[in-house]
Amino acid sequence: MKAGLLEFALCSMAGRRSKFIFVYIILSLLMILCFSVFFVTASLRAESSYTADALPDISVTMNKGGRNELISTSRIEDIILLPGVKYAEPAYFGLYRFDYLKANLTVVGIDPFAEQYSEAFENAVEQNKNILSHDRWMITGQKLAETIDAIYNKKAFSFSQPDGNYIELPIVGTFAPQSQMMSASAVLTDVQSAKEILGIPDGKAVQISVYTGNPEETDTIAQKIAAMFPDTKVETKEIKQTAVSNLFDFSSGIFMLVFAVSLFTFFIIVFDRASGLNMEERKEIAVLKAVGYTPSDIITVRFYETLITAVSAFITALPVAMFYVYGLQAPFLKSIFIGFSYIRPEFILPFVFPAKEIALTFMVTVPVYAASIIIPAWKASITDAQESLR
Amino acid sequence: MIKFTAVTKKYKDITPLDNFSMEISAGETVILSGRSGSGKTTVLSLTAALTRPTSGSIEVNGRQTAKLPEEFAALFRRESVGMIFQNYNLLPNLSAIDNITIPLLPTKITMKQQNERACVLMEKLGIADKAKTAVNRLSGGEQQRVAIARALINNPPVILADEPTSSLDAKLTDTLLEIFAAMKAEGKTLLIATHDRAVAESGIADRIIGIEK
Repeated sequence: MKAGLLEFALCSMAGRRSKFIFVYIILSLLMILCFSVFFVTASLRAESSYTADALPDISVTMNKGGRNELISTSRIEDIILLPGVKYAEPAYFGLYRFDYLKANLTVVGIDPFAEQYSEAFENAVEQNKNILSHDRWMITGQKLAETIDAIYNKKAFSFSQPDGNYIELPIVGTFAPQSQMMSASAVLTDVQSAKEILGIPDGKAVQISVYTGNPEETDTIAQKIAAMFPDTKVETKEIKQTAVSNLFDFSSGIFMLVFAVSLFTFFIIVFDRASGLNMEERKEIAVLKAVGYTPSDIITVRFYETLITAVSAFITALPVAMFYVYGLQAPFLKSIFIGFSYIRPEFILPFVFPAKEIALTFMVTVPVYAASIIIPAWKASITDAQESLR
Repeated sequence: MIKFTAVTKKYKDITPLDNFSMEISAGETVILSGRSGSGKTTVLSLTAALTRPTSGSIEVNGRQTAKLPEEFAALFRRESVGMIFQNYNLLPNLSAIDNITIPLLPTKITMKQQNERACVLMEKLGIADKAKTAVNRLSGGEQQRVAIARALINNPPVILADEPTSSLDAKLTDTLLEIFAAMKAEGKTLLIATHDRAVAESGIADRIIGIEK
């Protein structure tokens, strides 16, 4: 590092401080936005894993012509005989339209005392001890429970069945806060109630959930089920978890990121092209040439200017983004990712530091900015300086 | 020593210098005279290897400079040439001392030595009290002296001055001529492009080369 050139870069920046402050602010905003998107994405991904833990190792659904149809529960008898299968059971779930809120509720029927649900159920549900005292019951997110209470003034909800009759279920508990993101619009009920609400006849189920003894064997078992029932769609837990992560990674996060990066980078480049190599800067480079600066000296000066601006922006943006996401819980941005639904979940974003993505953002934005400064300076440093010196 | 042999410089549609030859000995003070647009500034730029001739050869201090790659041309300027411009070409955002030390920044000379050299020159030129003043707050004469100090800071053997008196009044012109006389006494080669008769008639020049188009 040439200390003299660094000092010159600092003096030069001080002399043109308004321009550098503008670029610093724009770069900082760009980085704050990018870092916030990465923090929220990583945090949501971690949050979603709480609920994903409860997924079966393999899910088998009936698929005809691209349509999901009910699957016969008699197939469980064949599946259970496959080596490595610990147990298999029918699953009952579906969407219920709650017109008042213009929202779809995900109704899931479960046996709360089944072994496979015990741990996840313990983690996900508060006040679940009341369930034993009810034949029919429902558990939902805190926000939805409060909404139902506010609308109907009671801790119960009447579902309309496909045959036009109503079935009223008491709300016996709410989900624990750490699973609120995925469960905000979910309603857990007893199996019989779920079947009646969703119109699932006896002997049919939405899915067959298969649990394996050894995770290493899951893929092989899934392949065997797919071969045994070619009319079904067989998915492993891993695939479903990836799908959940991808939902946040690609549908919102990456789009936001690409959009933001494109917009702000374009802004900076346009600004620098429009005002960067004006007469004054051209003259400055010509003077530096005249007093014996080589093209590499001139590029070094511009590189220092760029680096100082970019590192300052980075140092500012990182703590600001962390405070915005984890301190303030990412107002507005969190809503973009999880939706603006009335019953959108209330939950705390867990702290996650996506170091790779942060480094990537720095490595993507800074070279673009640096190139927009250094390339014109390099061009000016190798062209005839006589005109600029007159 | 500066030697131009059949030098032509062409731009797209103009030819400021056509088949020009001259020879200046080391330590000689030469005035380039001629009307505006006659090519005086082009001769200075060619001497400093700031621009390249279309044809012909140029030798300065024993080095062929006409085809020097930019990296080497810059090093040549740093070591061999000090330039004083008509409009000073100072960097307005910097102080006087910062402008003067600019040529030394890419070198291995320490900051302390740089400042010491600058202070000696400022003392000599009578601007020591203006060291920390931004150059855009200095008078024309003071700016001229800052530009001279910058040209001398590397102690180059060749000094090129382009219309150095055009912005100065008679008193400041006399002061400048005294400074040039001191440079001459130190054995520097001076090439001064001017159409100011006062300079031509001051007796400072060993020779006057007229450029006619």
